[in-house]
Amino acid sequence: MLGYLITFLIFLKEKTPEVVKKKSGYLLIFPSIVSIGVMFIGLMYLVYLSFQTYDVLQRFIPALTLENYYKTILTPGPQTTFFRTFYLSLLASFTSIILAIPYAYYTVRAPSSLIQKLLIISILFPFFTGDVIKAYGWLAALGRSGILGWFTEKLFGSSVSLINTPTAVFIGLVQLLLPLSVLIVAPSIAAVNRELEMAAQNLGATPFQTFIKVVLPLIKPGVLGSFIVSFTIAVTEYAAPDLLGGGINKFVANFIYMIMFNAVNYPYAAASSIFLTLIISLIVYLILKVGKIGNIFIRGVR
Amino acid sequence: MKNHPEKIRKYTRREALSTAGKIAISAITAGVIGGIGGYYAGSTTAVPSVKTETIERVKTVTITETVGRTSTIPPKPDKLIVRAWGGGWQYALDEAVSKTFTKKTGIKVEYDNTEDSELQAKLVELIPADKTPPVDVNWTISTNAYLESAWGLAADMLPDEVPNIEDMLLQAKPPPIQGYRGYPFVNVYSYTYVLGYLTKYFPEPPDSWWVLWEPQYEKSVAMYDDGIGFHAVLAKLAGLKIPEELSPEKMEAAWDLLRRLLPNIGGLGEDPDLSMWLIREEMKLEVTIITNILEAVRHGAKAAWTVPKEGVEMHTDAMYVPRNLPPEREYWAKQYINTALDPEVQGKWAELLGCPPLHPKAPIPEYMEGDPAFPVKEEYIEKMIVIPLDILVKYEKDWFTKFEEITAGIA
Repeated sequence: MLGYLITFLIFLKEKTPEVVKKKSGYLLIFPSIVSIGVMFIGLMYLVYLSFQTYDVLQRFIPALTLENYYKTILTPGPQTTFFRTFYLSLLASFTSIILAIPYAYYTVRAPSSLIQKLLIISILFPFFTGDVIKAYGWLAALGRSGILGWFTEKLFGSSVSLINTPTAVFIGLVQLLLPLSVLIVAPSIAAVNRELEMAAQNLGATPFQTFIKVVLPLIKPGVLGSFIVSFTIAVTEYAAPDLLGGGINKFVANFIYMIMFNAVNYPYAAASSIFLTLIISLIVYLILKVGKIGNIFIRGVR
Repeated sequence: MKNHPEKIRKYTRREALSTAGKIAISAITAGVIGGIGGYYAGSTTAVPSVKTETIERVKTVTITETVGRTSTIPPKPDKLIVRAWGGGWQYALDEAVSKTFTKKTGIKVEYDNTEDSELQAKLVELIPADKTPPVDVNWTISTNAYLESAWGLAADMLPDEVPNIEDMLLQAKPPPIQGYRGYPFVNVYSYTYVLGYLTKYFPEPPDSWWVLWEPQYEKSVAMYDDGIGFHAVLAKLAGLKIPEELSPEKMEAAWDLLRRLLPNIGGLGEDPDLSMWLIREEMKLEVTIITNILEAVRHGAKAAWTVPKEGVEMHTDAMYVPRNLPPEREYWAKQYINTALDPEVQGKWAELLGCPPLHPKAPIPEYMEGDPAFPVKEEYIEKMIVIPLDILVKYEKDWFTKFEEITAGIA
């Protein structure tokens, strides 16, 4: 049976025109196109839903309205949620990049392979646990009866809790983003020719000056790419704001969840989702444009 | 009135059952609850878009019609899956209902902790597409059960299949719904949303809901993330007439009160969050169901509850069997619900949950008597804010949306 199959495949290869053979590589991107296509159809359905009218018993009725966008954009509550989401996501992404660069640099330039392996394992370890587990870990640490509470009790006589605060959400986000940022930035640093750094130092530059004037410009595409990935993950995050924010530091994803599942208002949830997607797309576009790295994925420009 | 849960610990069901007069008291108090039930379940005509023609319930039917086979008892499945809230809720269900059911039938019970609203979204997609639902029994709030029944997601429960339904109080029985000959769901107990507090901050219980607005409780007040159990309280505090002025457009004064409360709101969550915040002393005051306070107390919290003078909201939870189950699973799922309605089981379940039973012969736990948080006496009923089910179904989702919009603005 296997023999027949192999014979058939050989026959097929021989009879396939040369032009088709050259283009056959494109078949490999077919699954991605299907995946994106399905997502696009879903997105179009959301667009359709976002203009429908809410009804408590029928969930929505096909009567076109702009009310859902009006409520999403102009109501103070959702406005605050959008502002909080973008503000904390930008801050957390920026912080994680700032922390990731020295970590990645030291990992790449580690003096021994043992230290390098330890650093790599340390950064990979958080991937073995999910977002919810990580958030629960912080819940235990930052609560009144956690490590922070115990420490402040001993130090100041009264326990402090960071649970249900924006600070707790920020900490949770940074922990989530830091390993990703390191993994994305590290290859950029590895690609920097070590001799360039040595040359700069031979010409009198301090290690800090070398990093700022030589390394950083060279790794800029990696840094911006890492920032974009971190930001898009943070801005759509659900678990950390939900568990560490205590329901009063919601992100847009939490707001959409509540509107969709608790209020069963599908059109309003769809409008909020579409608006979020548009804003994220705009911000990513601006980063690519300002950072002049729009063609990085096409030409492999470094 | 102060209600310390320490009192509950001393109580055992055996003590309750050993008192000969208990059943008689239960019958009297249950009769009182029945009075509420008449009011609560009586209004059946105001839900929009639902045909409200008179539907006569079937009293008897042969099992053949339902399970599609001539044998009287279908084969037993290995297990049943019941959607349940976690924590103390699942514990009480397991101890009181599931263990009894398994002992009686040999069928194991597993739990699906998917949030009731999430499961609703799944059922809405699966059942109309003729797919098998992921749970055999859905334990949910009564407004969801009503909506899901109106959407045709529930299997019909006929009195022959679930005989205990007929003995339940009026409050347990839903109004007739188009498309059902029997009962699409059954309310399994009632409960109130009380004012919970940490006793270290309140040696005497607060007597009014206005305590929530006092400036010293900044970031110290918690409630459900959709505000359930608090909307009508807000309306009452704002001077609105209940239920006449509960429509979203007339609720603006109530929403203004909520906006003024935002600086004091320190947490919005689900049942486990509300229990955890009391255990960890993260919150000083909560609008919650007693079950969550009991759960916190079991874990060492020094917490108690009270019924403020303005009253508390009274609600019910329900159970139903989703449509499109294989016949044998549907049959045994209905038997599970029948077990949950058994008077003995109702009594034990009520004791563990802190929610008064809806079977007139169920023993009323001792700690519920003398406590206005449990509507088992006539004078306590006056403390209840009872919203007719049709009004709840009509407006509750709008209240959720409004509550979400306002609380999303907490800075």
